[in-house]
Amino acid sequence: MMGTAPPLQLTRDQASRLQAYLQAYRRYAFASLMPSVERNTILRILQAMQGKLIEVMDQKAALLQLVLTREEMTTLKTIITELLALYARQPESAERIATLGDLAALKISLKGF
Amino acid sequence: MFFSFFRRRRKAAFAASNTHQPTTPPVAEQRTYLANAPYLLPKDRQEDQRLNFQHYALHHTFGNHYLAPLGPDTRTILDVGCGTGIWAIDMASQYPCAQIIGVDIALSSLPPALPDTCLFCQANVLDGLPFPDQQFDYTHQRLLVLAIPAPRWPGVVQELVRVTRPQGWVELLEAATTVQNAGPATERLLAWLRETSQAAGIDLSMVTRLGGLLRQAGCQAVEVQDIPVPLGSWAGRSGEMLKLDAMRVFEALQPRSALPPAEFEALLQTAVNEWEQNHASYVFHAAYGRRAPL
Repeated sequence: MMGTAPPLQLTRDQASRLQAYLQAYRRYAFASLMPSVERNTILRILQAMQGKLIEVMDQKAALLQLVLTREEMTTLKTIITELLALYARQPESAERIATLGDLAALKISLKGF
Repeated sequence: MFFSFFRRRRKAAFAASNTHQPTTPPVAEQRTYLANAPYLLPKDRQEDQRLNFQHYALHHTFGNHYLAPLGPDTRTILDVGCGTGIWAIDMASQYPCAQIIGVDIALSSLPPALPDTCLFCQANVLDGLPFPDQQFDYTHQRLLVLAIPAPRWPGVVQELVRVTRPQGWVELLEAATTVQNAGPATERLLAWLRETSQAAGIDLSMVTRLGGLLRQAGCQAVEVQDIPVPLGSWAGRSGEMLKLDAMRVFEALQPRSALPPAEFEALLQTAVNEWEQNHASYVFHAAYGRRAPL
């Protein structure tokens, strides 16, 4: 049986941004990475994570609780590191810096999980 | 019988379809085409085998049977143009608590053993779906571009959205004539396919408008993605499987060509060589979105 990580507490805005990052990574992987067992495993985990996140976001509460498996949490940390590297290679812009800052903050906040 | 158009389980020794994964698609012989529908591909045993092979090729390539971010509570699933039923059967393994309905113009391609949670219904989406509004958590339709005349697309997508519950997902996946790194023989084949389709009232460029059709039909959070998939042995197992599938598609369409069979075969073989040499990719067009809340 796969264990769960402690629940992630998210504001509605943070949840929307996390959802956008998950989608951005899936878009990148489908467009740029060759099909492989490793790529597809990550994509399946992210897709399931998105499904959970969207169900949580459908609730009316202001503070949302996202329960992830340990495997999902590990994958989330991995793709955030990859997204940081991807955005870092993009041309400089205010949007890029804001995204990098947001991703870095997310990465740090996940360290305890 | 009142429900005679439904076909349900014959339970005997059902096993997940993955246990019967074919290694190659079938080879060509005399083909049978639907007389009462604008469908360009054959409807026969060989085509059933190709569709099953294609299903595994797509799963091997995309890593899943669907792209929408479905939640774990998905309970009702509709597959439009279900063909051999293989997608519905595999989804039944993945979502054992969901009720799954497959719809197709003909149910002759279904296997004898079906899971308890799958139900199949004979219906033509061009005539409307035989379900009340807002029934399904997730509605899926893929690779029907050769069956839907261009002017009918908005109505078909509207129909998919109509039967999907508010905040449920609708997903479309298509492929047509976009090949990256195509050579001249490939371009010639694709141009022929476009012309042949157009003569039958089918506009292959509709596959690039799936997102707009979903939005127009009332979907929100629409995600549109063009997914290039490698075509050829150069890219390993996925590429090999998709190459074989693409070859069988063109072979199935060959009787519609004015070219002599030997010339068509030679053109196809040249195109296949180009895929290998140029490292070609075939582009799938995906779009999914959520029906707006009430």
